[in-house]
Amino acid sequence: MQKIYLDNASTTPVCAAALEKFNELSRENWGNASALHEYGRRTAQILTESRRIFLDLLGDGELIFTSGGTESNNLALFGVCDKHRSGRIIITADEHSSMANPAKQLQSKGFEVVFVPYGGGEEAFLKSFSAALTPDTIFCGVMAVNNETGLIFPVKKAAALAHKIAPDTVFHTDAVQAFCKIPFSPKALGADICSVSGHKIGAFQGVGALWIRKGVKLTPRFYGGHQQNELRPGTEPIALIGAFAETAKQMAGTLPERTEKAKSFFETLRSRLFGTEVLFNGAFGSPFIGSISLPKVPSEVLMRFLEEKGILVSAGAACSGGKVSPAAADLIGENAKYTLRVSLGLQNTPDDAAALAAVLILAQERFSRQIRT
Amino acid sequence: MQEVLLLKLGETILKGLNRNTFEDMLLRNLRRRLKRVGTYNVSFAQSTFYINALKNKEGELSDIAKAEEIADRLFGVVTVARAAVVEKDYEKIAETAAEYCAGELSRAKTFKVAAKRSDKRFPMNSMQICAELGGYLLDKFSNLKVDIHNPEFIVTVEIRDFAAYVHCGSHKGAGGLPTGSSGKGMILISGGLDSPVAAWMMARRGQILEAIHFESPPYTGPQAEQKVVDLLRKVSRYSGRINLHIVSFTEIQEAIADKCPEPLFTIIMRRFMMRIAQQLAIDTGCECLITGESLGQVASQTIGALACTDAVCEIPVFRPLIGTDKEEIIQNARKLDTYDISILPYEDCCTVFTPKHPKTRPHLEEIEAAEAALDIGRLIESAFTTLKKVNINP
Repeated sequence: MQKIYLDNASTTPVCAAALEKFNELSRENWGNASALHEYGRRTAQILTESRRIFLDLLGDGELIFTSGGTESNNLALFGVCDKHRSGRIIITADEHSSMANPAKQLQSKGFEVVFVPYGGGEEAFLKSFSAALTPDTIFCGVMAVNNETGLIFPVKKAAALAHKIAPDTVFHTDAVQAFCKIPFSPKALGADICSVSGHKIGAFQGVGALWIRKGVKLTPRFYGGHQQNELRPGTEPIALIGAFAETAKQMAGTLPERTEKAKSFFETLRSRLFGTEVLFNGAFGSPFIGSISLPKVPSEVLMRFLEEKGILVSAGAACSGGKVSPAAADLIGENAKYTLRVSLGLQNTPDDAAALAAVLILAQERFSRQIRT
Repeated sequence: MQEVLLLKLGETILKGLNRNTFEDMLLRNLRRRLKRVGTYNVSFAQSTFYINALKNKEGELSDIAKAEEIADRLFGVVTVARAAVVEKDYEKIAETAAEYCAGELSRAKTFKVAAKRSDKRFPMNSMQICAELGGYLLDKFSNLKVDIHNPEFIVTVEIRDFAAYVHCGSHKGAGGLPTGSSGKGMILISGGLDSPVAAWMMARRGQILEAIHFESPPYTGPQAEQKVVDLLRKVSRYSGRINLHIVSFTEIQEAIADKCPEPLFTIIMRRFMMRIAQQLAIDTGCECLITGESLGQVASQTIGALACTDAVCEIPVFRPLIGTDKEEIIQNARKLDTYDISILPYEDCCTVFTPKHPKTRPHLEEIEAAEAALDIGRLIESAFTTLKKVNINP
C-alpha cells in the first residue's frame, strides 16, 4: 500500500534535486577540500559556493557546516558558554530537546538557566522573557518555529529586548523548522547565531549548519584539523553539503507556491472535518504544521489507527517520544494528549488532506465508545 | 593451563529410581545449549558434570567462559566451579594452586584450603592435603592468614578418578529441576514485572514454556509486542526456547465495554484470557496455565476475583508469585534482567478500558449474568483467527 506521509517535521523524503546533486558530487567531486591538488581545490570551490548560497539566504556572516540541528544547537550553546565558568542562560520552555538538554547539562554545572514559557500568547511571552533578562545574561535561545505546534516565536522582538537589556548576550535562534518554511533571515531578525538542518527540507540526514553573525566568537566543541576556522574540524562531507545547498536554493525559491499548497491542504482538511467530532486546531504559525485531535482518543491510539489505514503522522514530536510538550499544552489545552501533528512536505497534496479527513471520520465511528463516555 | 567446569547437581540426585532419567535430561539440555556457543566435551561421573573446551573445525579452542554462562543458567545445577586440571601429583597441585588462584590469594587477608579425595589411591588424605597446601601458600603469600571458620575465600582441591582439580570456590547455579522434567506450562505474559518472573519460577521447576500474549491494536502498539519478545528472550536464557502466541483481544475488549457493567470489565476480560489461554494450552500440549498474579495486588487479584477467573479453567492454574511482595518480585526481575524492560512505558491490553471502580468482591453469578450478553464462543473463535506465533530463542 502506498502510504501518505504526514510527518515531515520529523524528517522529509530526500528530494530529487538533493539526490541528483549528491550523485553528481559523489561521482565527480569527492576530493578532500583541504588537499592542495586539483581534486581538493575543486571541492573547496564547491564548498565556497555552497556556503555562499546559505549566506545569501540567511544574511551576511560566517557559516559552519555541522552534522545537523542537534550539533548546531550544541555548538551554539557550549560555544558561547564554555568561555564562562557560570552565568545566566535564558531559553524558551519549548526549545527542542537538543537545546533544552544541553542547557540542563550546564545547569548541573552551576549555570543559572531560566526556561521561559510561551504562556497565553506573544505578549505574555515577551513579558516573561523581558522579566527574566538581566544585564549579565550570557546566552538567550528563542526558537523560530516550534517543532510540535508550528508556533512562530517573536524572535525579532525578543532579540531586540535581549540586546537592549543585556548588551553582551549572544542571541540564538533554532530555525530548523523555519528555514525554507517561512520567510526568514536571522540577520534581519537580529539574532547572533542560528541553527538549520538539512533533512527537514528535503536534503539528507546528517548535515546541518550554524550561521554566525560577524564578530561573534564561539569556542569549538571538539578539536582536530584547521577546517571551518577550526570551529568545526573534520573533513567536510561535500556531497551532503552540496546537496543541502542545492535543496535550500530550490526550496527558498518555491516557498510562496509551497505555502499556498500547504494552505489549501489545511483548508481542505478543515472543510472536510467541519461538523465532525474531530477538532482541527489549525496551523498556528508555520503553514506546514497543523494539529488535529479527536477528544478522548489518546494520540497514540489514533496514530496507530491512521497507520493501519496507511497514513503516517506523529503523536507529538517524534524526538520527545509522544510526551505532551509545554507548547502543545499552552496552545491546545486539555486536548493536548489527544492531539496529532500533521506536518507537510513537497509531496503532499489536497487529495492527501481529503484522504486524511476520510480516515479521521472512520476513526470517529471506530472510537465512538470512547468519545461517548 | 587446562580449565574445566564442574557442575554439581541439586535435587536431581534425590530422585530415587528416576535419577537416571533426570540426569540424562540435564545432560541433553546441557549439550544442546553448549552447541550454540562452541565445541565442548561433557562427561558425567561421581554426580558431577565435567565440561572441557575443545577445538572447533577451524582449530580454535572454544571459550570456557561462554560455557560457564550457559552452565550458570541451566536448571538442575546447584553449583558451578571453574577449575584448573592437574596431574594427581602433590607438587604440581601446589604449584597450580599458587598460580591459578594468585589473584585472590594476593588480594585476600584470610583463606583456607578444602580438599576432597574421592580417589582413595592418592597417597595423602584430605587433612594432609589441607595442612601441606595451606602451609605452602602461607609461605608464598605473606599477606595471608588462615581462618578456617570465616575465610574470605577457599582454595579447593578435588582429587578425582581421572585428575585433580584446583579452584577458588564454586558459585551458585540456577537450581531447580532439569528443563522438561515437569512437562509444559502456558504462561500468560503481559509486559509487566510479574509475569516474566512467574515464568522463570515455573521453568526452574522443570517446565518447558509456551507463552500467550494479548494485544489490542490500535490501543496497543507494536512496541508492546516487542517488549514481550524482549522479556521472554531473557527468560529463555534459562528455560530454553519458548513459543510465543499472540492473540488480538481488541474485539473482545470492545464487546465487553459495549455490553457489560463497567466495574466488571477487568474480571470478565481475565476470564476471556483464561479461556483462550486454556484452549491454546491444550492444543500445544501444556498441562497447566501460569500467571504472574499476587494476592491482593490489584482488584482482579483478590480471592473473590481469582475464584471467578478460575471458574472457567479446567486445567491447573499455577501462580508462583501468589504469596510474594512487589519488592521480592522486583529483586527477582533484576536478577533475571527483565526489570529495565518491564518498566518501559508502553501500554498493554490490561491498561486499556480499565474501569474507574473495579469490583473487588465479585460474585460468580453476577459475572455469568453479565457475560450472558456476549456471544462467548464466537468471540473466542474470532480471536483465534488473529493468532500469530513467534519463536523465542536465547
